[in-house]
Amino acid sequence: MAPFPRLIVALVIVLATSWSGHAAAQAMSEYQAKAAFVLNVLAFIEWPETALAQGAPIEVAVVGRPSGEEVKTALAGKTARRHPLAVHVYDRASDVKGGHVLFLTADAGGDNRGALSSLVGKAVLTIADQTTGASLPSIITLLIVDRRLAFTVDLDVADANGVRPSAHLLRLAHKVRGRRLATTR
Amino acid sequence: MIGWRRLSVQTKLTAVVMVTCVAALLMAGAGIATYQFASSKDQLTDHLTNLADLIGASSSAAIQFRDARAARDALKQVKGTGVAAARIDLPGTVGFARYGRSPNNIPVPFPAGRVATIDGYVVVSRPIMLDDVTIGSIAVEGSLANARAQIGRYIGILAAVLAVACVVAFLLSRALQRTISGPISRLSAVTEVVSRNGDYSIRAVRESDDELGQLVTRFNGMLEELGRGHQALRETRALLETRVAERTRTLEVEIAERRRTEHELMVAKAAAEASAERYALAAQGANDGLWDWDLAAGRLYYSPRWKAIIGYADDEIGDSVEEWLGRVHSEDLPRVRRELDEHLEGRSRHFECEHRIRHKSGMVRWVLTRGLAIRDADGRPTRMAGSQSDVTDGRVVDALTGLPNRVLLVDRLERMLTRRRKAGMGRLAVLFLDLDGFKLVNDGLGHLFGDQLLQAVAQRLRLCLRATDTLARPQDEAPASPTPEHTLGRLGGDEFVVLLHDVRKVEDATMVARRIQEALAAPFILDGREAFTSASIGIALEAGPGATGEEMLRDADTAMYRAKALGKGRFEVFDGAMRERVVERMQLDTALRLAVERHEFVPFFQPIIDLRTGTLSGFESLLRWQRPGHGLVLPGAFVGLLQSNGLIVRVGQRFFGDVCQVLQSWQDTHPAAPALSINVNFAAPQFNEVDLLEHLLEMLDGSGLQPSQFVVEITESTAISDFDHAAEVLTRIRDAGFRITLDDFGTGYSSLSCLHELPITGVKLDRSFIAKERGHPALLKGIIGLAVQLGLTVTAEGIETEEQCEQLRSLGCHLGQGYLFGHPADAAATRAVLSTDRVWLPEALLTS
Repeated sequence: MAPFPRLIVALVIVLATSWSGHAAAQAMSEYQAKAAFVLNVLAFIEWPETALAQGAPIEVAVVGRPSGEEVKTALAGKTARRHPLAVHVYDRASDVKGGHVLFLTADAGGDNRGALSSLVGKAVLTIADQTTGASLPSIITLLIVDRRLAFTVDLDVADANGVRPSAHLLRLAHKVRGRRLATTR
Repeated sequence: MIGWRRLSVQTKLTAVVMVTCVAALLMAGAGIATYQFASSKDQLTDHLTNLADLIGASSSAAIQFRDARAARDALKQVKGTGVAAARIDLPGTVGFARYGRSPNNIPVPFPAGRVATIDGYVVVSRPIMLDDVTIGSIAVEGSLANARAQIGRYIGILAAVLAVACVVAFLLSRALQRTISGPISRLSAVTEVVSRNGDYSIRAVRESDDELGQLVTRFNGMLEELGRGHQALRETRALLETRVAERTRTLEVEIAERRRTEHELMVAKAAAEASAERYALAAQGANDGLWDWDLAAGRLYYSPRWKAIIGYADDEIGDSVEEWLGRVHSEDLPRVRRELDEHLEGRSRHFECEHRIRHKSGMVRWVLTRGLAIRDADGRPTRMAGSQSDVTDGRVVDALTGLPNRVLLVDRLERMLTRRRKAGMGRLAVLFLDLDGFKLVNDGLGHLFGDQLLQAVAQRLRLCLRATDTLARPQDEAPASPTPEHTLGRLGGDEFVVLLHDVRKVEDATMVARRIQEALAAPFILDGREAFTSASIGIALEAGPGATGEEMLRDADTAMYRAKALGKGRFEVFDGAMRERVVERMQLDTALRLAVERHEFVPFFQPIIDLRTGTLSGFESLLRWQRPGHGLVLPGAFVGLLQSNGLIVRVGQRFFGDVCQVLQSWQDTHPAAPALSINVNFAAPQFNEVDLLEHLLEMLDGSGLQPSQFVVEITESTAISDFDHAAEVLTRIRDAGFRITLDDFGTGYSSLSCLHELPITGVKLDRSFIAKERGHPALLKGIIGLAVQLGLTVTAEGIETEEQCEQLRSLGCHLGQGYLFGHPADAAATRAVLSTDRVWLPEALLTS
């Protein structure tokens, strides 16, 4: 992966110049940046009230180590949509049994696809890092486009899970799949 | 403000209504416009706020992700919403995303929550929130141009409304004016008429029951009150004037009486007592000048008043007798001297002489000088005193010619008559002159020219008489009698009178008359125009001891008329026969007036025959006077007088009524007889009667007679004397159905062309055309032919022989009358004619 270190540099630059509201870090690692990205995404996601009561913490499961730890650190004490975040780190996706967010890092091992499939129908926002190399059935997929961190949204999965990304978020997505009219930036 | 005061109420009303209307509309318009603008601005602000919130929300994600492109895309959503520019700022970052025009009015920085209006743009800034956290701000600006455009449209509409409102207000104000200032204007007009004409009977018309109506009622009341006051004032003034006039007349009579009495008293006293003191005293009281002549010393005292009458101061006149006689008019001097001598010699009781005297100014005054001589025991006059009165005053002198007027003439005549008888001198003669044709000159050339002619005649008479004085007597006659004196005067108009003072025989007077006529024969050149005149002169000589001045004037007048009647430009001496003729005429006049009262006039009828068929056509009715003691009088003897005294109108009316009655009775007794026509003669004065036709129709009314049965006969001279009037009256008569015949046709001086201009239906040939010895067949033929050609019925009168009848028949004459057919007869005798079956024409003629 020759281009990877340059990408990291670029991400750091982008996030450092734009993400002033949520992070004050002068320099971030890759997953610190992705954690911040995820946090932004959460601001535009609605869960069914039955799944997420008012004021209840958003349970975030981060799969894969050591990246998960990094993410957990980055998100510690943060809130999204007035909900505090409760971040848990797992080694394998199959270990995750519930929660509101599942974030598969590149370090996640095991049968991620199976784990994601098992979560279909549950009110879980699934986020996969495409750098994992595999195309996974997640609602949000993180990817790099034009050296920028971007994301795609699969509305079919979102619908199946009862999780609703806001229209503002969809407008920012690199690609939207699913029943709704797909838009391409 | 003076300009405003001068404006009429109408204009003021209009102005007030218009100004009020415009001001109200403008204020309302301004208020509404301001409100509208503010409202539009508020709307714009709200709109921008909403948009900012919306865009802010929709760009929150872009902000969150620091995606400037997405933020710009979000901003692009405002396209078409009226936003001119928009900008998203992040904390620490101005212009994270921009949209729209650049530069724009959005301030830098522009904190969230602000609203500003900058250069016609409203700028609104809103925070962009995400989960209660401000993540940035969005500012948008919108133009107020729309609001302004809206206000512009609004102002346009307002202007249109204003124009319409002005028109409506103007019309309303006119309507208002009709109800308010209209009545006031009319009231004002009434006031004007009242003040100009002083006619208080005019009233203003009340048109409404409002305050104006009440004003009109009170104004009318006031006018009535004023009118009553004015009337009362006028009556009082008239009463006063009458009283003053009465009193003045009384006073004048009293004063005249007193003056006369005083004068007599004074003269009597002066004469009786010859007291200088009392004389002077009396002189002071009178307005007459006094004189006192010491015959022995030859000195004559003239009072200051005496001198003043002829224009001199007291010290300008001495005490010689020549101071007086030297100033007496040369024409009057011999008479004055003679009368003075007569008195001094004791042949007259008083000296009394009216004469002209030269005034200092050169003008002539008329004075009356009276005096009385005082004698010694032997009867010789030693002193003479008297008075001099100025009698000029325009009362005794004709203003135009400066000659004595009627008053003075008669007065002098009377005094001369008295003196002559005493003196045993020759007789007096009065020459009465009347200029012939003066009226023509006056009417034709104007009064001014007439007056000039009168002055010229007066001057010529003066010269002529002065010459006559010396020439009147043949050289060989002994100059035993004094030079005949004369007085020339003007009675008025074109009448002059010459009094000859001492006439021995008639020829003395006729010679003067002849000289006068010779003198007037030469033409008068006045203003470069030539005028001729002659005088008819009547001469009356003092008839006897009983004659009065007025009688002599009257006789001379009668003789003058005689001279005129005999052909003008000649003289006649009055004689007893003339007086008899006048008396006769007066008696005839009286008898005629009685005859009218007693109805002594009867109609006679002469048959008129249709020469073509030999049948009776009708009758001419003729006026006869059954004068008691004189038998039947023919019209020639009295109609002239009837016309001149105007009785002809009454007689004519009555006569027509009588004729109608007779005709009606004939119709009743001879219903089978053919419709007869009656000719009735009318004289000129009858045509001047305004309702002649109405009278005629009135008399026909109910009689069963028709106008077509009557032929109105007028003489040619009657018709011609006032052609237009005659034509008008005759047309009305003809249109009513009467026929009209021109009588005595051919004797007048009319032109034949008048024939077709008069509405006549026939002509009656004068008998002179028919008479055998004077008849003129060619002329007769021509006249009958002309009349027939004009469609006129031709009647011949005076037919006496069968030859005449035959000739007229052969020439085409329609009708005829004359002794051949019958003399005029009264109604009863004529009725007999109707009963017979008479053949009017010789059988030979009818068959020929």
